[in-house]
Amino acid sequence: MTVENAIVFVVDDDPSVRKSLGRLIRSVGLAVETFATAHEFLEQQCLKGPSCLILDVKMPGISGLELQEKLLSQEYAMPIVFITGHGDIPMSVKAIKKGAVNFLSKPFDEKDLLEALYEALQKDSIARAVREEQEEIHRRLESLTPREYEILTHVITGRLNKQIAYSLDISEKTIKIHRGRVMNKMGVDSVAELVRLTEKVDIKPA
Amino acid sequence: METLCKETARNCIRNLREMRLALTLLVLSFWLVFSTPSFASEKSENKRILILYSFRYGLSSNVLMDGNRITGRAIQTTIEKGSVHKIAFHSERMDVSALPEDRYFKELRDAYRKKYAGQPIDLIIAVQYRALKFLINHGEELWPKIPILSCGVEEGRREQLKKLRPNITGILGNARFGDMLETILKIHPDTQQITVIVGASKTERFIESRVRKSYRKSFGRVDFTYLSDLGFDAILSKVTDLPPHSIVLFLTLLRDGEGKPVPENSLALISQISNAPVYGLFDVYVGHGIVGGNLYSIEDRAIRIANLALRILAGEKPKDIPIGSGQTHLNLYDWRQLKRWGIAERDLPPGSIIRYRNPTFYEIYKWYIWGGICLVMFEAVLIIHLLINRSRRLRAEQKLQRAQYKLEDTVTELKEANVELKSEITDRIQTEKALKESENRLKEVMASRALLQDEVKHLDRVATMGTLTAAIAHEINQPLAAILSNSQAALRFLNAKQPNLRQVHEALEDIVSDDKRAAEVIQRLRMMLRKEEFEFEPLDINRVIQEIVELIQSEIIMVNATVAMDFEAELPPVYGDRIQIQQVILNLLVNALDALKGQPEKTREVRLSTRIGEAGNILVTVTDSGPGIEDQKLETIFEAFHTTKTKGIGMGLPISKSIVEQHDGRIWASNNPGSGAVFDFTLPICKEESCK
Repeated sequence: MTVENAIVFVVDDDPSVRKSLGRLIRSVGLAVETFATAHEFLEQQCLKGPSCLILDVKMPGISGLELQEKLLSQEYAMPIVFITGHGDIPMSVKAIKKGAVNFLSKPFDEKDLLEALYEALQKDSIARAVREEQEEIHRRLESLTPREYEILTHVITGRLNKQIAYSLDISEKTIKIHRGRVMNKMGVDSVAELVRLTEKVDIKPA
Repeated sequence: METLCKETARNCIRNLREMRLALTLLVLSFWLVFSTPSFASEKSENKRILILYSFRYGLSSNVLMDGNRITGRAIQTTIEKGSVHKIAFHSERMDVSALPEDRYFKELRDAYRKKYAGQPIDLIIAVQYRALKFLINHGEELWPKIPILSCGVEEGRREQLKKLRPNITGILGNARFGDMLETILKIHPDTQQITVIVGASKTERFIESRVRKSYRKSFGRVDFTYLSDLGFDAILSKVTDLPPHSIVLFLTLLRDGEGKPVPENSLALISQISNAPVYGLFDVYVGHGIVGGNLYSIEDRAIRIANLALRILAGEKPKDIPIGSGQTHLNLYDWRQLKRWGIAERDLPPGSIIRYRNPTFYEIYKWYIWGGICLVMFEAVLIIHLLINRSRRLRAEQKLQRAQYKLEDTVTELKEANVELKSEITDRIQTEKALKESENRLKEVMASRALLQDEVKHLDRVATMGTLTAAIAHEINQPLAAILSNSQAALRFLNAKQPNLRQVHEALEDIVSDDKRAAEVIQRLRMMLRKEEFEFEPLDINRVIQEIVELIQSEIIMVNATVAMDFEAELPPVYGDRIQIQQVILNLLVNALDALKGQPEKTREVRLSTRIGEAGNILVTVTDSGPGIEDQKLETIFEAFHTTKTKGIGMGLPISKSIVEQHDGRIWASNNPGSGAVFDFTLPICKEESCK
């Protein structure tokens, strides 16, 4: 199971752990970048391909849990696999609840680590795809004029041109023209397709 | 003395008598002086006036409407009012006699002669021509040269009067029948029929002839019916059934056409049953049933004659007074009759006098009405006053009520406050009690605390051991995790199609170093667990420090720091485990050197000093010129895992603390005012026998 262009980030203050983890991940053919502190990671973060984060809980400066909090507040949250040398159950529950993929205790078996790693990368690539699609839909929506957008919100309720014309107090012919342009700009052939697109970006029908 | 007094008293009495006499004379003389002129001004000069009437009753009427009575009264009143003389009035009424007039006059003359013998008459007033005629014939025999005034004689006899004796004068005047009728027709313009009621006596016949003559001329359009030939009953039945637009004109009615006398109230009877308005001839008829009209005024005639009489009484001679003329007619009306016939007052000639006007309700009850109004007003004012008072009282009551409510509220609040206050007082008392109790308890606690402190010391140590164990587990897990990852990575590299031996080699090297690290940790742990086996001995602390500094001299040189030793000479020995204390000093020294690594080389300095502490123990201080410790970390720095370094596990200080405390010492950290951290720890002075 490989994920193309995937990159794994490791943040741990212990140099031995950092070094050994980097080696292990590289040994399965994944790209890896290691950071001694959360601060360093935040400075060098780059998000080109699917990625995930292996994060130590207890670190000087910004702790692992604090970093998770910070990443969650950003628009896109990278999947996280927590590792700890001295963890307890409340801490792990807290981390998992906030969306961590797994919470591993040192020393951990490579099987557990790699499983968590692949799960995280998969999750990220799906999320990335969804996000990319949404971005595309948003781009198309942005190309609509305000009037066209208004017509769209009416069309996705399943109303006929006549009904829309009545409620907006414009001629049916005009509605027809606007509707054609909306379909064209949104790159769809049917109303069903249009509805599916708008549902993905959570557009409220009129 | 006594006689003198009596003499004086007697004189006094005499004097008094004389005085009384004088006073009486004085009063009398005053009375004579002042009363005499008043006697003179009295109407001493008696005058006698004789009024001689031609008939028993005045020509005009009967006893009820007696012209003679009216005339006599008017004359008397006027003269009495105007004359300075005391007047005695005599009146004589000639009668209608069956005798021929000459013989009747002569008998009358004889009767008057007897009657008035010795009673001189000063003035005679003759009412109507018959009386005048009698005086013309016999007056000179009875009352020679006495002035005579003629009253009620017609204008036609003026020439006759002029030829008479100079002692006769008077006023002549006719009844103006024409004016009378004209007035009636003005009031009743549509009159077609006038029924004239007049008696059948000689005088009345004369009047009738005059009226007929007067009306024949000018009132052709009106029919006149004269009832002088009818009996009274016939007259009555006639006037009840008069044709429309009729008027009854009542002249006089002394004797009817059948020669019978008529009732005294004949006019009233006729008026009552007549179906047409009744008009009359004389002012005295008004009030007896006539509507009114332009009436011959008997009263006014009498007043004018009386005025002439006054002039004669005042001394004027009758011959100097010319015979006057003109008879006064008055427009007089009876209000009740006007109402009865529906005659409007505006239809009457201007200047008409209306008598017997029924007083209006207001006129009758004027005072009652005003009284009532005043009463009502007064009562209204009273009521308003009372109402105002009442509303004021109500308002005041409301205010009072509100005030009462407020008072009640206040009282309630006060009561409540009282209760609260009481409970507060109780509370306070209780609190004071509780305070005392807690004070006592505190004392107890303080006492027990002292006992506990020893126990706590032990517990602290146990807790420290727990923390240490956790820290050591963490410390071992790190190299273990690294070893595992490295091993598995190495295996992978070996198992690859093209094994990467360099990577495997590196991994194995790391495994060796991680393994050594783990072994160190375990060794340290063993040292910690060995605590019961500490070998306590008297130690020269300065010497111990010296050894450690020599031991890590190479490290000091690598860091390029200067270590200054500031030892108190001849310190008493401390009692402790040499290796353990060296471990503490080593930890602090290594920390200090680590702290200097980021600093400029010139300022890299560590100062080691020993002193006698305040509590009589040995104080060791390690000062560095590094960046110092964050203030909030000064407290927690001795807890496990609180490392300030990127390297290390943060166990050095907790372990040092544990060691120092096991020596009954204390360790603490602070910051230099300038820069750098200061670590102090104390060690007790040796009190064992061997130390001495």
